Amino acid sequence: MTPHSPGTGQINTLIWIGFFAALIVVLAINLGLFGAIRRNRGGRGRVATQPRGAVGLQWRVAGVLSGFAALLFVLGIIFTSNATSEPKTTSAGLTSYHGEKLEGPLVIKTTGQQWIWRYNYPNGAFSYYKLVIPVHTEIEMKLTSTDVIHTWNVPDLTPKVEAVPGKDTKIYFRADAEGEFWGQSSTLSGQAYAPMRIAVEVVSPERFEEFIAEQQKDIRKGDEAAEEIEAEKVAEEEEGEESSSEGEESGSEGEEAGEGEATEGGEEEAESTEEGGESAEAGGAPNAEAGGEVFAENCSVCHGADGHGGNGGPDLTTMPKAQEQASAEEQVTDGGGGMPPFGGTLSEEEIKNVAAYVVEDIVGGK
Amino acid sequence: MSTSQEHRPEIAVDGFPRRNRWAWMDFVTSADHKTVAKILMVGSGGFLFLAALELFLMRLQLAIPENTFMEPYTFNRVLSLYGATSIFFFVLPLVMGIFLYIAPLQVGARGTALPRLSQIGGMLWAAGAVVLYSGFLWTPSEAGVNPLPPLSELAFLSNNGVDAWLTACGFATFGFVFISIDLATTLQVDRAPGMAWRRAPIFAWAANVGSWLMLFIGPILLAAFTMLLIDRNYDGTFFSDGSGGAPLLWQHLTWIFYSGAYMLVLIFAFAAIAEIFAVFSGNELFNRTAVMASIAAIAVIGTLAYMQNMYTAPIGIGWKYFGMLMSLALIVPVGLVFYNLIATLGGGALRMRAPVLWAVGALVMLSLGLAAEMQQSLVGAAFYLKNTTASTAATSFALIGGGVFGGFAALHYWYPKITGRAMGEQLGRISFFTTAAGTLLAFVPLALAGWEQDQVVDAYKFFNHTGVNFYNLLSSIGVLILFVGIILILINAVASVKGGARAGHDPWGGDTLEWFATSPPPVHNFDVQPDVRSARPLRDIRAAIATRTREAEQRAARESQPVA
Repeated sequence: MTPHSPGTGQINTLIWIGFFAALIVVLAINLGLFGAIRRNRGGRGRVATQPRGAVGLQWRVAGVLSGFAALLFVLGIIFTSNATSEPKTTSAGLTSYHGEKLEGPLVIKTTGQQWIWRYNYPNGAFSYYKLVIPVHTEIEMKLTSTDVIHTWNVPDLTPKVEAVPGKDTKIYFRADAEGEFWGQSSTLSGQAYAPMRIAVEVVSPERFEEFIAEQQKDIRKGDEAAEEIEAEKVAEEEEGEESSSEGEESGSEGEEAGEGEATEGGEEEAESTEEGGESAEAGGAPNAEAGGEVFAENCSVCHGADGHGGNGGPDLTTMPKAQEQASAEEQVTDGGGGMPPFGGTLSEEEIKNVAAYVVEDIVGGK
Repeated sequence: MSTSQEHRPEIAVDGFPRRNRWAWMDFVTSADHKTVAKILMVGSGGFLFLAALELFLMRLQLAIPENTFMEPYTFNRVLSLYGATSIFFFVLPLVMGIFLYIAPLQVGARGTALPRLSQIGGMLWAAGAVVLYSGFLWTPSEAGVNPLPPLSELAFLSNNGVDAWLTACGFATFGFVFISIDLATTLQVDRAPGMAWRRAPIFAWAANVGSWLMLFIGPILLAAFTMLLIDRNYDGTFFSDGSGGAPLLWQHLTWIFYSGAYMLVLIFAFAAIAEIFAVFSGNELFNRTAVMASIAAIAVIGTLAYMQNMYTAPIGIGWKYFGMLMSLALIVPVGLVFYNLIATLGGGALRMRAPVLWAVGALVMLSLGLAAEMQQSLVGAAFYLKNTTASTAATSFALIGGGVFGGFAALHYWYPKITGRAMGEQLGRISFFTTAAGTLLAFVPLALAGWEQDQVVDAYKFFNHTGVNFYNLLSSIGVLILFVGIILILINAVASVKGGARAGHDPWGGDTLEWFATSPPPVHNFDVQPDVRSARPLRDIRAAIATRTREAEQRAARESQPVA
C-alpha cells in the first residue's frame, strides 16, 4: 500500500501505530514467558516456592494495561476521524465541470454487481470496471449494490467499504497523483469473485473532461444505433405482417431462443451483410448462428440469455465495444472490465462467430 | 461375573444387564456426560483432519498464481465446508466436549444434573455432522465461511446447499446450547460440599462462564439461521433488500455468535493452560481471583466487541468506535490473564512435559494472533486490513493457538484421565514442533501478503503480477507441514488408546478433584464426594493421608514400647 490520498495516508500511519503496539505486546508476552520458563525449570530436587500475589500488584498491572488501551483508543479515534474527513479540492483540481463551477465534491455513483463495478459520472456518462477521476479533486463516492454485498477496495486511494443492496454508503477521497491504481473486491460474492478487479485511472482535469465527452459520445452513438435498428426492425415487422404472419412468428421465436432456426438463419446472414459491411471485410465469413451457440455456452452465464445483462455482465447493447466486429473480437479475446479473456478457451473462429452474433444479433437487435 | 453366577445363584445378575455384544449401542445411547463428551471429542478429532485437509486443498489451489486445479465453484464449496467444519465441528465440540468431560469431575459431581439434555445435544451435533458431510451427495453451499445474505439467498444460490449448511450448523449449535444448559446447571448445583466458587478449579469456572456464554449466543445464531431458512424456503424477506428486509441484520446476529465463540475458545485455552502451568510448576495459580474475573470479563466484553467485524459495513461511525472501545478494553483482562499465567511459573519447578510444551505453544500463537487482532481493531487500520489475508492470519493464529494448541495441551493433560493411558511423549513433542513450524510458515507469509499487497480473503485465485507469488507458495508449504503435524497428533491420540503407558489415577500430581477419581472414571465418577476445604483439594487429601500415615506409624511405634 502506497497511500495517494490524504485519508489513506492517515490509515497507513494508524496501521504502523497498531503494528508497533502489537510488536510491544508480542515481545512483552514472549520475553516474559520464555524468561519465566528459563528461570524456573525444575530438576535437581528443586521445590516450588511461590511468592504470594498481592492485590495491589494486580491493580498496578491493570492500570498499565488500561493506560495502553486508552492511548490506542484515542489514537484510533484521531486517525480514523482524519481518515474519514472530507479532503477539499485543491486549486490544481477540477474546479469547473461542463462550464459550470464545481461546488463541493465531484459525485460518482458506484454500483457493485456480480462481478463488475459500474460508475455513473455526473451528466449521464458512465463506465464499467475502470473508474476515471480527475487528480487533486475531492470525490464523493456513493456506493450501493444491485445484488449481493461487494466490498469496494482500492487501498491506495480510499478506505475499504461495503456496497450493500438497498443502502447508500458515502466515502470521500482525493487522489494526489496521476496514474493507474488497482483494487479488488474483498467480500465473497460468488463464482467470479476473484477476478472482480477494480482499476482507477487518475488523470488531469482537462483529460477528465475529454474522457466524459468521449464516453457521452460513445453512449449516444450506441443509443442512436440501437434506435435506428429498432426503427428498422419495426419497419421489417410491418412488412412481415403484410406478407405472412407465420414468418414473423417463427422469427420472434428465434430471437427468444437466442439461436436462429435453420431456415431463418440464411435470411439473417444475408441481412447482416447488408447492414454491417465491415464484418464481411474482416475476412472469412463469421457465422452468427454458430456464434449463438458459443454465446449460450460461454457468455449467457453473465450477460443473460438474450445478452441484455442480468447475471452480472452488463447489457451488451450499451457497451461501446460490442458495436463493432473488430472491437468485440478484441474484447472477447483479451477480456478486461471484469470479463475474463476467452483467447485461450475459444478458437479464433469461435471468437469471430460469437463476436458476429453479439454485433449483429444482440446489438443489432435481431 | 460368570463365576459369581455359578457360585452364587441366589444373586440376580439379570438386573444389571451387560450386553457386551451391543457395547457400541450402550456407548451411543449412554447419557453419561463422559460418554457424550467422548463422542464430541473423537468426532472433533476426525473433523480436525477434514478441516486440515480442506485447508490444504485450498492452499494447493493457491500455491501458484492463476491456478486451474479447482473450478471457482469447487473452491467456494470447499471454503464453505472448511468454515463449517473448523468452527462447528472441530473447535466448538472439542471445547464443549472437554468442558463436559472434565468440569463435572473437577467439582466432584457424580454425574451431570440434566444428563438427557447433554445426550440430546451430542446426538444433535452428530446429526449436524451427518447433514453437512452428506452435502456432497447433492450440492454443497458456495456461500463462504459466513454465508452473508443476499449471496446466500435463494436468488443467488438456488440449490439446497445453503439450506443443508444452515441445517447442519444449526443442529450443531442446538446441541451446544443443550449441553451448556446441562453444564451450567451441574456446575451451579452439583459442586462437592465446601466447594464455593472461590475454591472451584479455574477450568470449571471457565466451563461455567463458557456455558452461560453459549446459552446467550447460541440462540441468537439459531434465530439468524431460522430467518435465512424462512427467507429461502418460504419467501421470507428478513435479509433481502427492499420489502422491509435488511442484509446487515445477518451480520449483526452472526457476528455476535462468532465473536462469542471466539471468546469461548480463548477462555477455554486460558483456563486449560492455567491448570497445566499450575500443576507442572508445582505452584498454585497466581492470583486466581484476578484470573476468574478476567475470564468472565473476556466473555462479556469480547462478545460486546462484535462490531469490530463490521468496520466496513454501512453503520454509524459511533458504533464502530464502540466496537473499538470494547476490543481495546479486552487488553486489560487478556493482559491480566497472560500476566498471571506467566507469574504462576515464578518460583516454580517446571517439568517440561508434552502438555506444557503445547501450552507454551498456545500462548505464543495466541500472543501473535491477539496482538494482530488488536492492530486490526483500530477502526482506521481495518479500513485497509479487514478482509485481507492479514485478518485471516490474525484469526487463524488466535483460533489455532486456542483450539489446536490449547485443545491439544488440554488433551495431553487429561488424556490419562479419559483413557487410563498416557499419550506418547516423544510423538507429542515431534507433532508439537511440526505443527508449530507449520502454523508459523502458513500464516506469517499470509499476513505479509495481506498487509503489503492487499491479497483478499476467500479468492479462488490470485494474479501473477501482484507480488504475492512467493508468499502464497510459502504459505501452502506451511499448511502442508501443519497438515502433517495434525496427522501426527491424531495418530498419537489414536495409538495411545491401546498402546500408551498405563497411567495411574493421578499421573501429574494434580491438585483438583478429577484426579481423585480412577482413570478412566466409573459411570458414577466418585464413590465418595470429598469435603473441599481449599482450592487444592487433592493436595489436602494427599497431605491428610501423609499425616494420618505418620501418626499411625508414630502411634504404632509408641504402643510397641514395653510398658514399664
